[in-house]
Amino acid sequence: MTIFFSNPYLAVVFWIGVGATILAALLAVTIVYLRIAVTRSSREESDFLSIWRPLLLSSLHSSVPAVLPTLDVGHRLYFLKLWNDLMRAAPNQAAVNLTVIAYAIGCDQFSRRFLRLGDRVECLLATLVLGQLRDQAAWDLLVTQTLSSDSITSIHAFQALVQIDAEAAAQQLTPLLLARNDWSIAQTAAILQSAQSAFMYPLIDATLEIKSAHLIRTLRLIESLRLSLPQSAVLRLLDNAQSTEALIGTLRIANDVSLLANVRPYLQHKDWRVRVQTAKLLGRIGEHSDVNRLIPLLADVEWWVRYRTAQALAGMSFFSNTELELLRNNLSDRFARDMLSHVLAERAAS
Amino acid sequence: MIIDGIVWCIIGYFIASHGGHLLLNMLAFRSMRGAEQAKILADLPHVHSGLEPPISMLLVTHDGVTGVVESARTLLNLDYPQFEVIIVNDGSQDGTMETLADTFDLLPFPEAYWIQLTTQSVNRIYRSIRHPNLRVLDKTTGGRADALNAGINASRYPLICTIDARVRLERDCLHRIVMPFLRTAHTVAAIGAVRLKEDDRYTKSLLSRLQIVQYLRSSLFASLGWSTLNALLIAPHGVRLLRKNVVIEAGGYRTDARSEEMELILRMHRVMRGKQQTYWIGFVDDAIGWQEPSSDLVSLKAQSILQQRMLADSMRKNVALLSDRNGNLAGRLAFLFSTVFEWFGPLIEAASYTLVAIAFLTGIIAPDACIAFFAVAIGMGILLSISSLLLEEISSHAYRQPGAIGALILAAVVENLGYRQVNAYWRSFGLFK
Repeated sequence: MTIFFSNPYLAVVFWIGVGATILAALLAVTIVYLRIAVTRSSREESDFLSIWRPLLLSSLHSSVPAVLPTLDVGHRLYFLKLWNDLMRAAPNQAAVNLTVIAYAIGCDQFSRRFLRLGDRVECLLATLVLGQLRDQAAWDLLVTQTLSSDSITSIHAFQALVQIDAEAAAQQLTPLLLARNDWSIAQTAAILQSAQSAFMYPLIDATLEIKSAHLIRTLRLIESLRLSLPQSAVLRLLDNAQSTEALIGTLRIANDVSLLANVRPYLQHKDWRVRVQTAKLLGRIGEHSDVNRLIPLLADVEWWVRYRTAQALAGMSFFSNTELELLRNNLSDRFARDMLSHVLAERAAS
Repeated sequence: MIIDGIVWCIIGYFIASHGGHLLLNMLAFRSMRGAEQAKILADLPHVHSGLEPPISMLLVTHDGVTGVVESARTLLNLDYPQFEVIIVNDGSQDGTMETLADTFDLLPFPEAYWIQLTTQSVNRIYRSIRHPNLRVLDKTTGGRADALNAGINASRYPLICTIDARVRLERDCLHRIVMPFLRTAHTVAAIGAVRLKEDDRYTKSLLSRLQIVQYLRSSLFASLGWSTLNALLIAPHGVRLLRKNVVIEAGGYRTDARSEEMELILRMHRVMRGKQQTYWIGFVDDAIGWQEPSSDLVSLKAQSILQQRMLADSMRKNVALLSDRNGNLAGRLAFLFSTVFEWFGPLIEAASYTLVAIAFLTGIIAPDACIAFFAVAIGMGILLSISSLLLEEISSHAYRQPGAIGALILAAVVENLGYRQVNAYWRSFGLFK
């Protein structure tokens, strides 16, 4: 074929094209192979489910069968998936039955093996299951997983540890929890919701001793868990706030009337986000005298300040709708009047 | 000599184009490492902590009374802890407003409307009694971009989500598309992938499969590849989740853009680079929704021409990205690549096929040069199409009908034996029309 080409470079180009076509053919074979593998795997899983799903479902409503089928080595992953799915929705006694079945077939052992030696999918499924099993023997392996650079694997390992022993997890892993910015606040808060009492004091203590980068994350978690920080701690945070974000985070969790005198000056803060949080705070815990402090914010240049101030006023138990309407009618600022109308309409609609 | 030089330039262009897209596919493959884990997690019930960022969904309608109610119902049924739906009625004359009012029990609401972006006047704002998270803006006609800006003005939440009207959303789409925002606070936009639905009608199935292969090759995995470099400039149509304050800072949607969505993404890159702030524009390759492919050649041609015009317009309006001294290598490379291979690519491809064919038929070039050209153009094209199918098979197995994979492989070959060339000609028209 090279002789056919007058120019050797044209031959090179031609063979690049041929090579690409051959490679495409190989990839096509790979695609077909993958599809066959997926189809075969689906069929295997269906066969597995036809035996094990009815068995596990019946154990949810009655007792554990005396004789369990043998679980093939190749079906272990299917078992982990099925068991985990059922466990999440199982009420207490049913969860006990499922746990008995899992231990009876050695699920804890092969899950720990997956955790040590498995690929990412096996590791993740094993992590989920060991957490549901409350398997203490997997503790060290799971702690190692929390240090993984992969955030999905690590946060689910953390979740498993919280399920196994929340107190120990709080003692050992709070610093890691606060340092891992790749663990989303939303997901972390969801995990901690079931272990609030365990994490309360470690999180509160963390506000005493850490740098400001972790402080904001700590405050967000405290807020998400609706934990109450002691008044002295909040006061110290307010006095020593090294950034606007830290100040905002502190205002969001403040809830003690004794702090009112300290927070009122923030109504005039130059950052509108601080003014918003201060208005919200006064709406939660403010006194009657705070009404007159809030009214000027109805004419603030920032929409969100006006909105939250109007909501704060509307939320004060000693400030009735009639008084709000009267206030609105007497305001000279159009934006303030519009905002109060908006909030009054929201309250009427809810 | 000159002819030889032109032929070599053409061959070099095709090698560079296909080679570049293959590299993008490799980058996309690297980013799929978490795909298997994500599938397992996606099957688990979502645990809501209440801290997922709330989202404002914007739906624009103009004389679309037949579809807007169904679209609104779809949005209201989405599974997500906190979101609102804002329908912007952009001066419809077909009774849209009355239909919406009857269907959703709308009442006028004295909203303190905040004008952050200038738009045509908003006549009235309504709120649904039945669905507290649904509001409707009735405004003077100003076009889709103007309506989206009005929706932004009315939105309460820090993230705004816009949807192409043709897309049918998965119920948990918001959980998937919000993930880049949960991973890092630097995310300013996330583009959600949609898949083309396979047309089961026998007579038209080949056309739909050709479009599927083309979509996977040019829109889906190329976008994923670029997003790994934070250089996703030409975002495919579908679903977008944007950080509102960045959109406002960029000036909102341009009313003079042919594709306001595409142009905005480019401008967001410019704005963030101008500020020299760390930012991320991500691509979520997990299927957020589905859309129907074009059902016939006439509509396909019109769509191809329109898309090319939109792309050209967006690129032209943001050509400053190429010379932006704050732009990084990835950004400049992405813009240069998109200019050469996407913006002017169809014209170069169409002209190349035409020139080589004419030159061969008139004896100006030798048969060996013609053979070499077609070998590399078609061979590498087939490799690119097949590699995109492989990525699809690894990531989502979206097309599971019996025989679908075989048919798609065949379509990947056929695509490069005429369909792609015809498409290049159509898209070239889009540059001149």
